[in-house]
Amino acid sequence: MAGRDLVMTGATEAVLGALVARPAGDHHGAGLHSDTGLPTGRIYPVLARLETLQWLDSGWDEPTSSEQGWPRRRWYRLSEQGLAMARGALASARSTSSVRVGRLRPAGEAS
Amino acid sequence: MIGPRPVLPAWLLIRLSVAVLPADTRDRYREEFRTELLELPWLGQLGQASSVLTGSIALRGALTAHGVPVTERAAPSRKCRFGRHTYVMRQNDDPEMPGRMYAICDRCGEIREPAEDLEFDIEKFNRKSTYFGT
Repeated sequence: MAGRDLVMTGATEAVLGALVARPAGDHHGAGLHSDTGLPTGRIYPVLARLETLQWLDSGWDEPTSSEQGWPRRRWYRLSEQGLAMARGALASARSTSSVRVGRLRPAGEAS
Repeated sequence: MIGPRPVLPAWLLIRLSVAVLPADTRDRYREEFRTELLELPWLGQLGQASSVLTGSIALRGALTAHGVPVTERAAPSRKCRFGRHTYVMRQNDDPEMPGRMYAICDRCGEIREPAEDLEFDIEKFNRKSTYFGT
């Protein structure tokens, strides 16, 4: 698992950049769409991967009284370890120009 | 279903997108996508639902992959497809092999590590890996 080196795509870098820019806040799919300019369909796979790596925590917003009966919004937030990993991955990606290389590891695994 | 619903064509696209996802994730993503759509005008709903449908296979891949499902590999260039990589040296940051050097193709990310008992020669790598040099 740790032996796999994979290329960080532009979508992953953009989403990580938006998440790192406001690490303490809750992010939603629509907000990340606005922040990154990426189509929603490219954002959710990245979020799912980051969540699998445990870089992201996610949960449901509690509906306010005026929102009763409405579907809930899902929030995403960088975990403490995920923030450190994301910053490292972004720094690594930005240090190479033509091909951005980064090995992303699950949170908790030593870097 | 309780509560408002997106416009019918968008809702159908979302239902289709969710149908390809693993069964245990469908409820979550159906609700999540529905909420996002409801914040948009009907034309925006159609655009977003189309985008979600386009990305649904990638989302399924991310949800079903095991190990480290990180990012997709970049499409290799024509030279790389024929094994003519352009290697650059990198230092391994893996804690199990700290400081160990390896060669990685600057175009496609292909990695070659030197054999334990051989001295690694990046110039030789590059001479063998490109037609006319870099």
